[in-house]
Amino acid sequence: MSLLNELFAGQSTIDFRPRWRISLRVAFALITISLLLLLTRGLNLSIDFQGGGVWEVPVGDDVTVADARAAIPAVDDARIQLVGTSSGNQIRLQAGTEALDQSEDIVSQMAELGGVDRDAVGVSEIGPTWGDQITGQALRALAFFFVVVALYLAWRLEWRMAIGALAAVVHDLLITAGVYSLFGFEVSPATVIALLTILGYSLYDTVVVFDKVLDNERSIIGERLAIDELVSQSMNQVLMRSINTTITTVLPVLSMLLIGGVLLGGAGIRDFALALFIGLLLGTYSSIFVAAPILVWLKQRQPDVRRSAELEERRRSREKAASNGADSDELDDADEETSKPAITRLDDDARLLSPGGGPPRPRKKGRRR
Amino acid sequence: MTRGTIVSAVGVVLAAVLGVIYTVAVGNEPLLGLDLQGGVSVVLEPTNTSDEDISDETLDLTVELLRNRIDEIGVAEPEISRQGQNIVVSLPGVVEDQEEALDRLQQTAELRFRPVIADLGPAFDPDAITIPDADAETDADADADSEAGETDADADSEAEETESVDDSSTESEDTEDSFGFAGRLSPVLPLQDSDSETDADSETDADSEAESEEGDPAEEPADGEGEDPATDAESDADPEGEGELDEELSPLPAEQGTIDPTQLAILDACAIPDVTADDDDVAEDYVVLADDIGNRYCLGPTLLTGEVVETADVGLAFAGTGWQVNPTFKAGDDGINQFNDVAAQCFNANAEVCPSTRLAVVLDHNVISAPSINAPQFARNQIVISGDFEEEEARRLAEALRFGALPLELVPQETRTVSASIGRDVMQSGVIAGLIGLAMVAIYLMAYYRLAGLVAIGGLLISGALLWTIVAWFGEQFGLALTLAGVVGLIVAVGVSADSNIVYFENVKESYMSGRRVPTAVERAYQSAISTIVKADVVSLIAAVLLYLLTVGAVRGFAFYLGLATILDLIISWTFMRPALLWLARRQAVDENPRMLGLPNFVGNES
Repeated sequence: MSLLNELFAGQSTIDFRPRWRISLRVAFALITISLLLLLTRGLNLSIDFQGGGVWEVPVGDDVTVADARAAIPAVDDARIQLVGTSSGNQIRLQAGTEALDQSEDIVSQMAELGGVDRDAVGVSEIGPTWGDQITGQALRALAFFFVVVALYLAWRLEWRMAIGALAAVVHDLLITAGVYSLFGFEVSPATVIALLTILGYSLYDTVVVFDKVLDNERSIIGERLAIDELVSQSMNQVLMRSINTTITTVLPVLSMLLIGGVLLGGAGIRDFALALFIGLLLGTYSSIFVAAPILVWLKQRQPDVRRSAELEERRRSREKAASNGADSDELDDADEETSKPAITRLDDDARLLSPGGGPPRPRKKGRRR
Repeated sequence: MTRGTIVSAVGVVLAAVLGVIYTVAVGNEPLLGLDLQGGVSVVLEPTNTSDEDISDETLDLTVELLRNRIDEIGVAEPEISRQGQNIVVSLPGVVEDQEEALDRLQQTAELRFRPVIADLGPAFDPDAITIPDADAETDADADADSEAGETDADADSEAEETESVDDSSTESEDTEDSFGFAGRLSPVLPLQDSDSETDADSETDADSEAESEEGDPAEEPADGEGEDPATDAESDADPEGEGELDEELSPLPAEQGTIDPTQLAILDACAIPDVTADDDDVAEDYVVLADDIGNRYCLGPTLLTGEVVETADVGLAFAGTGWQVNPTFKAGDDGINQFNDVAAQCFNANAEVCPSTRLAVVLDHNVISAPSINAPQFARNQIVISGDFEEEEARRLAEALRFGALPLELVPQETRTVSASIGRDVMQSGVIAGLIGLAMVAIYLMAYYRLAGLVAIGGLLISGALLWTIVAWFGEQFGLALTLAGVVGLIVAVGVSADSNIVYFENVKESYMSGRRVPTAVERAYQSAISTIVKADVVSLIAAVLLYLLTVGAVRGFAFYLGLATILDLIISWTFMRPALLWLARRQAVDENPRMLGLPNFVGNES
């Protein structure tokens, strides 16, 4: 079977363990670079965060940025851009808070430039302290979010998984921010929304992956495999799922990026979609290549005492049962598993024995119709 | 598949279909945010002189005041909401004269005590109008009138409009047929404009006509403009140059020429001279204002502002029935002394100042209450306003008094004006991008999962139908607008919804690969799939709820629709996904050829 076929059937046997060593190093390096970039270059924050104004007016095809600059003497240090949209060109002027006093002049001059009514000029004015406020709020929301999600995941999954999941999210957010810093893309409120969305997707993906690990851990297969093998196998099982969920989420985003952003020139949409696009790819990658190895690492460093005891207990009772020749269902299955060599089969059996699926009895296959 | 699951699947499909039918039948449409249809939005941060936090009730009251102001501007479907300590006002669509509207919103609402000149009763229907307390008032008016030798001087209208400050109170000639109508309502002080507007709207047809004719939105108070010529003709202008409180009374401002004689009699009784306010935000005009239930009062110039009040409480009336309000005034010349000066005049029914003995409490041109003054002197904390109040009425009055003590300044933090054409562009790009994105997802799902893809698409369609219904309903009911950020939240949710289906399908595949027949696999895989879906969706919900509660503006809109769509995803995962897939899996053709569900051929499965 080719790898694609294997993937399709959920039966790939990629050993992730050596790859994890690399991916963790890469993640560490990228995060370091991103942090350095953020500290040195910083982010190109839009006026929404700094205070100031943006004025936009539709103009004819022959209007250039130089024309606009000449026509709008009101502000000296304004940034003036020509933006193409589906319904023609637009002049976009952006200036700091000092320009706010002259807003009326600017609107008049721009209306004149475009030969339109004053009402056709789009205006955004943001007071100087407002940006700090919304940034503060967003950060506070984020902090709360991390705490609540950590508690929730620790409750529904386990605390090591919560740490792994959040580490992956931080990884995604920092690197996305790093990309913005590196290329000097403007960070607008739309970007912030995008970052928050990334955070959601990244977690969704990681939850799916970890839920599988948990499933396997509780099943019979979890008893025999070392934790790193077990997680690696779980990754194989969820790989296609992750790829598919990513494709279905990236498709609408790609459509926004290409159609909404480039063809139709919606600046807000483009900002948003770009951040999303980078983040979504990172989110899928990080579930498997960051969250998972961190989970493994945590588990190796600090084994789950309760689980080891449980496993030990089950092992002992099985041995005892085997020596007694007892024939309880569970033990039967277990014995059968042990005799099977193929890893793929083990996976399947793991599935069979997962709590949700209930243990079908392989040897009754013939009767099950 | 139990009866219950079938019922739930049919139920959710039915709900979606009925929802769409309802929405179309009722004509609900999603209310588009101003970034999608153009309009103005402003985030106002209330600040006051003290450093204390602004109480919730004060903020709620402020929202109410803003709503009234917007109603006066006449904007359809405004959205005013509190977001934390901030107030967000969105005026969608093309707003005539945006700058004026924004200015109006930012005014500080001041609590004013004004003498009641006349209680005009509930409406301005000439037949219905009575002039209560008639004797005293009429006398007073008469006096004033007779004393008045001159009419109001609106005469030099153009000038006044711009420098209304020195507009004078002029005395009016008081003959029945010469109405020194001062058509001028101050253009400078917007509060008064709105006052006059209020008048116009509900009271005199003449006024409102004048207003609509003006057609110059920028100077909306322009009543004066239209009226001036007439006024000129009829009145001897004699500007005194200052608007003192003891002016003579002259008739109510009204449009000249179109006035109905019945109204004139009443106007005459009210006898309002045309006194314009000056710039310092003290309303020195005679005005006609209404209270909550539409009772209208002719009110004299402001005698006191809310600054004299320290606080106010409510309590059950000591004697009598109902609730009462206990205001406490500030000590000394800042408070109680000023109030007592006024009280003395009102108690004595000073014809020139306070003819009816009643002193109206006015907040942002609404008469909250108009009690009569029953003593010439008060101790600052021994005052009771009683009047058989319902508890709510009393609370409202106390709230207004407290509000007046610490008026809020509304500082604009973020102002956005989106022209309709830009909004349309954005809307267009968003819709096109969304549809193409959806189509690509659908094609991918069909290509990969074959018939099972139909289940996913069906789920998306149901979700879409329900969302449309809910969004349209919210728009109609609560004026909740769908913004670009909201659209993005919905598109994101489409992705999440597709994810849920994929999680399920992959679980089915696993179950199938382990040797089960297709229908069994579909049945068995559900438990673990739904458990994963719920866990993941709850994380999305946590994000949505926290973002909604803790942020302002665009992020909030995003969070709302993300949360809404996530809940729908949960519902559809619970009700629709399994029965639909199971139904497919039970078809003979599918059972014979599992590839139709996107399942690989697996040798281990006996057929």
